[in-house]
Amino acid sequence: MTQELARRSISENLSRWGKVLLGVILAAFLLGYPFVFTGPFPQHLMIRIFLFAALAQAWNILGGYCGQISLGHAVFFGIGAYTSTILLIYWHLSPWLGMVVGVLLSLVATLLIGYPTFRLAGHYFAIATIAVGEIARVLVTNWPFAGGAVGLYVPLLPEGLRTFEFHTTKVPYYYISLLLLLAVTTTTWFLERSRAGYYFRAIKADPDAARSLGIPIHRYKLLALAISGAFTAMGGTFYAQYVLYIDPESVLPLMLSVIICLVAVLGGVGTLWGPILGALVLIPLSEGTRVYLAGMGGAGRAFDLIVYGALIVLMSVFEPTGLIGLWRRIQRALEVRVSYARLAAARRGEQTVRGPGSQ
Amino acid sequence: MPALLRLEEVSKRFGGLVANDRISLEVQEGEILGLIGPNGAGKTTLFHCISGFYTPDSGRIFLRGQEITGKSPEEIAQHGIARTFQIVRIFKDLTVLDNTIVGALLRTRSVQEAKKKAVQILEFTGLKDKMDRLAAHLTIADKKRLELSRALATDPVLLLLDETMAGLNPQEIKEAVDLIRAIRERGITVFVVEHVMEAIMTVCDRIIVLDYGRKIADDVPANIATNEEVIKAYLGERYHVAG
Amino acid sequence: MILLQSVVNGVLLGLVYALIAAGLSLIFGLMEIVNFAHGQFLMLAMYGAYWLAVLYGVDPLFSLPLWTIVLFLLGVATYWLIIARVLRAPMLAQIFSTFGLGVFLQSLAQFFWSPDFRLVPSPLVKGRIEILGLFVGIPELVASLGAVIAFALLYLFVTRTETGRALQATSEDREAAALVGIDSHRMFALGWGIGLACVGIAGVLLSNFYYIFPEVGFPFALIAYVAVALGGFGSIPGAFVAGIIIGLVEVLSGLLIGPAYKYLFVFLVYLIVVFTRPQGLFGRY
Repeated sequence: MTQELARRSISENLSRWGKVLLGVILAAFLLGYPFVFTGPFPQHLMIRIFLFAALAQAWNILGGYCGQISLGHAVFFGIGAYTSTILLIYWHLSPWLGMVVGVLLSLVATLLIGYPTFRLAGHYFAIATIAVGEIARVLVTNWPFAGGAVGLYVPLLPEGLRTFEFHTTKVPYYYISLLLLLAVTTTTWFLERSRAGYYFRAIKADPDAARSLGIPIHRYKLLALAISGAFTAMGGTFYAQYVLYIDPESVLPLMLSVIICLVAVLGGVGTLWGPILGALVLIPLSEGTRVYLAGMGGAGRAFDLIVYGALIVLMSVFEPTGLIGLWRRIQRALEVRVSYARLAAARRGEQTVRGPGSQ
Repeated sequence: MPALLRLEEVSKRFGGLVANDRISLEVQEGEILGLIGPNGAGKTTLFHCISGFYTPDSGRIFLRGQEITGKSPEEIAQHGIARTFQIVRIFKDLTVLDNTIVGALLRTRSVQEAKKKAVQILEFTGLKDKMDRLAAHLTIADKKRLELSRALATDPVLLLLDETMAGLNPQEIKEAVDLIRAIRERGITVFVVEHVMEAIMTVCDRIIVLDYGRKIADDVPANIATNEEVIKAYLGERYHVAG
Repeated sequence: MILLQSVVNGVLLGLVYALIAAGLSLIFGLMEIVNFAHGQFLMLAMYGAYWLAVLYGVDPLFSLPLWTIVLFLLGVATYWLIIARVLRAPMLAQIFSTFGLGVFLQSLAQFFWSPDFRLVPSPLVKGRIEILGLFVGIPELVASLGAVIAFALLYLFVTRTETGRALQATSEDREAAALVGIDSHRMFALGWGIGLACVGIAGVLLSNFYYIFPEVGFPFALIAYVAVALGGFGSIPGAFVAGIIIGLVEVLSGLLIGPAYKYLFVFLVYLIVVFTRPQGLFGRY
């Protein structure tokens, strides 16, 4: 009883107008940000946040909702980055079309990777994805056509939306990455409310029970991987066009796969806002330490990872639901307190005494 | 009238152990059929064979005359056989309503429609008041009830219940018996594995007894209670347990 | 001749892999948790041997007992501080608790000791000997001999001692073991201790001839996962055989196809094994 009252108190009283207002403010902030913060670093920072939030959100579809822990998502990122770059270098194909081809190739990869690996459960699957990722990295490193270990430079073209290259400003990159994040988040939002979304969660919770309810679990795992991989590949093309240089160590390393899922895990898997929250916390942390500790050379680069690692251990042990879970816990504590105050006010003079929380 | 479900000489072996030994049986449309037997008699194995989690080593299984032997669990669910598990397997992190919606989505793509149906079913099974709770937070009795609701939501023609009453108190058992009867009233055939004898004797129209993987009796409850071979099988178990 | 030389090198390498894999397999067999920080603990042991040699002139051979004990204690501490708390947690939390630990340790090493490649200066065991026309590096020989001895001790401990049998009983059936009065938490902690002690021994032995850098443990850990999958998760003899097989695969594919591809084949072996025989060569499922 108290609980229900409590839930209504904050979430719903504040909702409607509150939410609309909050949305408007957020939209205005996001759209106006590059005009307020005109320096390259704040813009670069936000672009990284959007990119990694999008990648983590994409990972979240497979890992968070469907429960298949992939530690090899860099494969898809690499497919996106290499496909568009190779097509641009050798056949002068627009990176936008390259992105589309990259997505198509990521779907082929989904079938190749997902078909065999989805028979594996839990830890076996996670290790298999590491193996797939490492195989891809070794292959590309030894493939001269794709630049080998040296990597590929994206040819410099006149800047513009058509060429997907901007040399004098980061603002277009800002909006494109925002759009990517928006697209994958909207997709997730729809998935959450669709049959596929329910099925993903059922598969995560108990694959055998899911099958007994008529869910073809392999098909749905493949679907989750396909959506997840496609957005990750788009992120790869974006990265190539943003940095204009790719090599196996930057777009195919295991560490990239790891960071993608760390962002999601830290924020809170299986939730819409978790990956975004995770990126908001982790990316500034790593970019910040990178800048302030740049003088220390290679050592400085590791500092963010020390914090990452420690955070992940602490989170796994104390709050496996991530920052979102932490936030919800705080919110619940606040709500209960508010509702108590209300109950007390409503019942002033009343005789009945009720115990705390009917749950 | 042809049987709803027919098993022809179904066998399942695990290494040297014959869990199901040439079992033939029929489930008639609209009946409540019981499956009993001492521990390890092969009841759950048989349910696994029917629901597609095991492929029988030999023998055939027909649903309404159509062969379903060796089909996958998801295909068999689509054909209209729903089941519960011996150890409850609800989706713990989902709410009661969402659990049931997952079941209902088998027959509709629309989440809205599935939700409507899920609410109806939860009303029928008496869980509507608790539909916003997380499944993990339910009592054992309610968890079993939820698993049953979820199975019902798939619109089955045949419902396999694997020990739904184990671990319930007498009051809860009575409620479960009433619920099984009400399910039959909805036109769903029920096939139950049960250890709680009083319950199964009152609720079933007919009972099949397994012992060491073989079918040793197939009769109305009154006759089962006096069947010599059945008594022997159970006495054996009792001695075994005592020793 | 060169082929035979490679086979010898592969077996020597494989024995060290086997020891690393045995520790991993022991832990997995006990509680079905993969230690994703396995390689980073190996790296710590290597750095440990390195720093003692550089700062105090203690040869790795002599610091071996010390690091074995330290790694054992680290294992016990890891269990009580982290693993015991995620035993009942979702799989995701289990994976990331050790994964996060690995990232933490590796970046810590990078932060304090820089990403430079280091070698233990003039270790006691060096050079190589010629046996029947084959050249064998003495450090490699010592490492593989040490691995075999450690492996034999581990095997005797598990099969012949009271505690070892309790460990095995827990690994086979936790509930049954608890019924006969075996405290599973203590066994788990012991398993982590022994598992990391194996890694400690392997790390110190490797430090005699292997470059030491923060990421050094990672390929070893990956190979250990492959070995454990190949041998059967939880099977210690399986880890032994699988370690040797993988050592051979690595060296032979390096020789026959090209050094750049050697890990690729190791991973291919993993994928083929888990797809065709998920229980591994010696798996008990």
